[in-house]
Parts: sequence; C-alpha cells; structure tokens
Amino acid sequence: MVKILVAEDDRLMLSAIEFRLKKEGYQVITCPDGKSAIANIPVHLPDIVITDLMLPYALGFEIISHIKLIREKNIRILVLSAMGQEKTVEEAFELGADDYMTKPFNFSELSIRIKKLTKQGA
Amino acid sequence: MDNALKKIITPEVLYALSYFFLGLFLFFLAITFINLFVQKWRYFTGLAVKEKINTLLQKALFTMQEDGTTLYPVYNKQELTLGTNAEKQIAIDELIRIRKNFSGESAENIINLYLALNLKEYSKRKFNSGFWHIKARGIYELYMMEQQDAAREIYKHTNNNNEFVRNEAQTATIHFLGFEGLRFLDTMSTPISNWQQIKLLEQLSALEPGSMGNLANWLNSGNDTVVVFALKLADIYQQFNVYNEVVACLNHKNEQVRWQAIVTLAKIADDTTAGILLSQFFKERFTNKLNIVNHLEPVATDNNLDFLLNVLNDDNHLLKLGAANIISKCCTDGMDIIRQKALLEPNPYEPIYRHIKSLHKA
Repeated sequence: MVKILVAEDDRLMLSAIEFRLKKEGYQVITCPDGKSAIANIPVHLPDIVITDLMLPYALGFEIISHIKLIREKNIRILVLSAMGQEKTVEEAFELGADDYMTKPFNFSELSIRIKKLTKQGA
Repeated sequence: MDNALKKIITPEVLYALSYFFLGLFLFFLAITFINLFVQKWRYFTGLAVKEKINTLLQKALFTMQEDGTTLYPVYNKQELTLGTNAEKQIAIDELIRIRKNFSGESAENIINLYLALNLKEYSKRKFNSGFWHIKARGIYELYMMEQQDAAREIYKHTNNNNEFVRNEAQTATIHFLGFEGLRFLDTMSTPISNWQQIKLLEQLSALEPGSMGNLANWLNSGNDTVVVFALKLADIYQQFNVYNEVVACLNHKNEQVRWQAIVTLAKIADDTTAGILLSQFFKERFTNKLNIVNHLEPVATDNNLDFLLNVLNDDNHLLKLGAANIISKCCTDGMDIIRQKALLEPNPYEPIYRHIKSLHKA
C-alpha cells in the first residue's frame, strides 16, 4: 500500500485530504506542523510527502531539505501551497520537490498527480 | 495660608471627594468587568460557531459516493440556524477561509453550504449598506462565494467615490468576467491607485489572456491612471497593435504616463523605437532621461553609439552609468569602448568600468 505523509497546518484541510486519500486506498500519516513532519518522515519512510510551505515550527522548504538527506528511500515530494510566485516554485523544485500544486486545488487533480508520482517512484 | 486652606478643605469636601473617587473607581471596575465578560462571551460564541461551521464543512467536504464522486450533502434545519449577525460573520469568515483552498466540487459544496445557511442574504444586506466598509465587505463575500447574479449590481460600483468600495467592485468584476470585466475602464473617472493596479494585474495573470478590444481607447483616456494601467497591460500582454497610441503617450502632460510609455515602448519595440526614444530624451527631465537610457537595451544598436557617447559624457553619474551599460551590451566592442574611456579618464570612468564588468560576470 502506498504510504503518504501530509503536512498541513489547517486542521480541516488536513482531515479533508486525509479522508480523500484514505478513500482512494492510500495509507495516510498526518502532521499538523513542520517539526512533526520532519520527525515522522524518517520513522515512517513514506512513498510520497505532500507538504504546505508555510507551516509552524519548520517551513515546507526545510521538510524538502530533510527528505533529500534520507538515503534509504526515494521519497517523492508534492508541494501544495497558496504561494504561486515563480521564485517560490523555482526554489521548491531546486531543493528537490517533484511536483507543485497551488491552492485553490481540487481533489481530482491531486489524485492524478499522486498517481503520477507513484508511477515515477515505482 | 493655613487658615485659608482649612476653610477650603473642610471635612465635608474631603468626604465628598472620597466618595467621588470611590465611585469613579467602582465605575471603571464595573466597565472593565463588563468588557471582559463581553470579550469572553464573544470568544466562546465564536468558538461554538466555528465548531458548528467546521462540522458542517466536514459534511460538505467529506460527503462522497462509493465511486469517489462528490455528493451534495443534506443538512438538517437545526444545523443551519445561526442567530446573531456576529455569528453569521464568523461563519462567513470561516467559509471564505476554507473556500480559498479548494476549487472544483469541494468548493461548490462550500458555496452550497453558504447558501443553505442563508448567508447570501446577509452578504447582500451588507452590500446594500450605506457604510463603505460594510459595503466593501459585502462585495468581497459575494464574489468569494461566486454569486454571479450579483455581478451586475457590483459592476455599478467600479467607479464608486469610495476607493475601497470601487477596489472591491473592480476585483469582483474581473473575478466574474475575466478580461471582459476590464470594460469598467471605459468610463472610469476615479483614480486607480498603484496598489490596486498591482492587485488587478496579479489577478489577471492567473486568467487566460482575453480580448482587450478597448485598449486603444483606454490609452486615450482623460483619466491618467487609466492610461498608466492600459500601458502596463500593453506591456505585459505584448499589444503591438497599440504601438502608435503608446508613442502618442510620450507627449502626455503627466510625467508618470510618459514614464510608463517609455517602459512599454521598449517592450513592444520595432525598428523605429530607438529613434523615437532618443528624440524623446531631449524633451524630458532627469527622471525620464534616466528611464530612457535604462530601457534602451532591447532597441539600441551601433547606430546609436554617438548618442550614447554623448550621454556617457553627461555630468550626471547615473546617466553615465546607464549609457556605459547600454554601450557595453549593445554596441560592437562596447566593453573596449568603456575600458578605453576608463584609461583616459579614470575618474569617474574607472569605477563605472569595474561596475559594468561585474554586471557582465553576474
């Protein structure tokens, strides 16, 4: 089963994403802030990490940098953020993000992108 | 002296003053307690409403059919009762906050919840308010919740005398109609602030570029800020068809318009642009002279070297630097020309040469 870790500080958003992904048959780990995401990634070694950029305690950029230090697994990273400025997107890709979605987003698109990332990782 | 004081400060006066200050103290104490109580009540009411809205939102976002498609959730009447206006406002704020994150079916369900809670009526009441801040808020809520039927009424306020109301109305109009909504520029008599221009351009950047049929008219508008905004549109969306109108703006009486026209012209340049900008140089004051020099890069060639060498000898160091930069980038052996100049006159051309060299390396 594909394991997805979601880092998002909005409680409702987090549970909405969790609900949808579980419905689609993924195993989901939720983290309400950057610090817990950084702590949980090496423990669970998810296949995909979906992260916001503006998170309490540690930003999404820090999460991406931490993931890139993990050698055991090729974890795919999808950034899901309201920040759509060219520079921010560029920075996220430079750090190692595999995909970038801006808010507002719809679940169908998120689902397609996750499937694509899953295939890339396989 | 003592006797005089004793006559004024009698025990009765002291008693009266004591009672007065005690009363004053008790009054402020009571006010403080009432204020704290109201704040506490508001906080807990807010929490309760947020909790209620979150439960409804969960229903809106989590209702799904087995095949994965979203289902329109059914709410019961009890759930949908909101009492005071303060509660309604909290509910709207929460719905808008979540709405900003979603598009597609989830967004539709949030909007349906807004309608089911009868909050549209509340937003409309605010839109019809005589107070500008309430009106502006009402417009914001209506467009954030995609209430297209309000677009026509909102459009009428795109030229409102109050800056905040018209800013919201303009944003709403573009939100509803896209590029088509820019038609409010046709009749605009009030100014568009720089900040609003940035906001509108940012909003447009997220949309598919559409028709700007009236751009030539906007460039001839009597409203200088409309002209500046139209010039920015011509620049960003590369509107070569209004080249002549942009050139005409170089003769505008407003320096800001001419400034923007120079910037735009450099972006939609053709073979004649360099000549036009160079002749404009001599009509302008310092700010626009520098602006011209700084925007010559896309159009300057070896043919303009004489002009650029003249500017290089200007008294002003910023003009010297601008000209040196253009010579180095646009003229054959430009860098050598600047280096020779620096050897002949180390002060001030040596630091200019070094600066240009560092720019080239970067």
